Amino acid sequence: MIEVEGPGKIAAIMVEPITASNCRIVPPDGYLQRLRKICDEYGVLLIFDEVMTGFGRTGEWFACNHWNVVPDIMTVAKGINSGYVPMGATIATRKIAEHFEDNIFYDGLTNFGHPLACAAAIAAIHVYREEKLVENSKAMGEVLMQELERIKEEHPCVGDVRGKGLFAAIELVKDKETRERLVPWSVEYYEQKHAAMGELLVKLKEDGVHTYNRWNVLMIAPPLCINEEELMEGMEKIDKALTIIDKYISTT
Amino acid sequence: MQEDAKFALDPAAIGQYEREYIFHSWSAQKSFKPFIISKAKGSCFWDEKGKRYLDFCSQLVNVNAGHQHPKIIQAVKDQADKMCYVSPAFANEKRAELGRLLAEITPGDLTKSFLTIGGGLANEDAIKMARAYTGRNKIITRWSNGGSSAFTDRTGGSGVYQDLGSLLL
Repeated sequence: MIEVEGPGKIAAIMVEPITASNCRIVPPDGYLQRLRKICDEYGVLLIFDEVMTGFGRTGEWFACNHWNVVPDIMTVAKGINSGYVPMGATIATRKIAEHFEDNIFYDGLTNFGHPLACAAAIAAIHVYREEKLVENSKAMGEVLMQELERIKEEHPCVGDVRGKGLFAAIELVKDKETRERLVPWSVEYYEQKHAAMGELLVKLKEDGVHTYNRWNVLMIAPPLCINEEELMEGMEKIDKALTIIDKYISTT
Repeated sequence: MQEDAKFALDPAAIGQYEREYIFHSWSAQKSFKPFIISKAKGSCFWDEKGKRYLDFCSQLVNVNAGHQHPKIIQAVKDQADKMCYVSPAFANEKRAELGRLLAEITPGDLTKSFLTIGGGLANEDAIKMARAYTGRNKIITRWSNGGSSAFTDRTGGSGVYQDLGSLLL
């Protein structure tokens, strides 16, 4: 693709190290390393979007730490201050920063770098450190993955489970063998919500578990301070609610 | 445990005003069903009737520290007392300290932060930065969740662009 477009015309490759709301796709080992190598080969910058995966979400401070790949530019937001005040950041390497010593960076809005947001972010980073929330994300993530594997074994409707740390998902299918999706990945889905997915979310809400889905994928991403008891309580309720989908696929 | 929030409006009015006067994101407006959270703590929140929910998506996968963390709340209060706002043109203690902390926790020689008000804008600024630095125009993305600004809509985040390959801006 770089060759087709012309390497001299491409500024950057921008990816989420772990694809986030678009169904939590964890790359195989070596993928990001290879991407780094391709970028270096062609002199193209590598941008990691760590907006969702940053600040301990995946059991490391940043998802790229799992593979020891460092981008040229990293973007963050969300966990930077846990949403207490709106904030994001574009973080560049020293080399890129130096370029802008003499060249103007043409951007900025009135509320960029707001002191209240900065104060919240400093406090949040201290909380992550002092309360060992990144470590907790990793430890609870292991409990979560074990539980997800068990759920996958037991439910005919579960085609795949995946994630890292407290950033996981359950993929629901019509057929475990063919992995045919329970819900098509299409715009129509937005307009005509799938009955069984809707029913699943209603059941979870009734049982006191709040989460969201993208098409046939149910997201699991609790706060990093969650303890094992709360995590297992939620997982038991999800386990129970999935029988709705099991019944649905056995009758259609 | 935190007290239930005291609302100046009753729940019915909150729901009605939300429906009538507010545009809601990522939805056909008719589908918005008012759901009021009256209290939140750690991994949980409660609705107006006192029913408890486990927040299994940290709101929008952002409340990493948990709801209503006293130390973060205190930091915001302290800063509000000291100085609510200064324009980006001034030097500011909190901005300076956050920049240093971000350089410390991010890997490699990621050093200098451009502070924005959200992830979509951070992505947009990353694109601008890469273009200015390289003098090149094209950006390759891969079904990334880029946000919803004019640039980043086209990076595929909204989920309606489903080309599993890549997209050039």
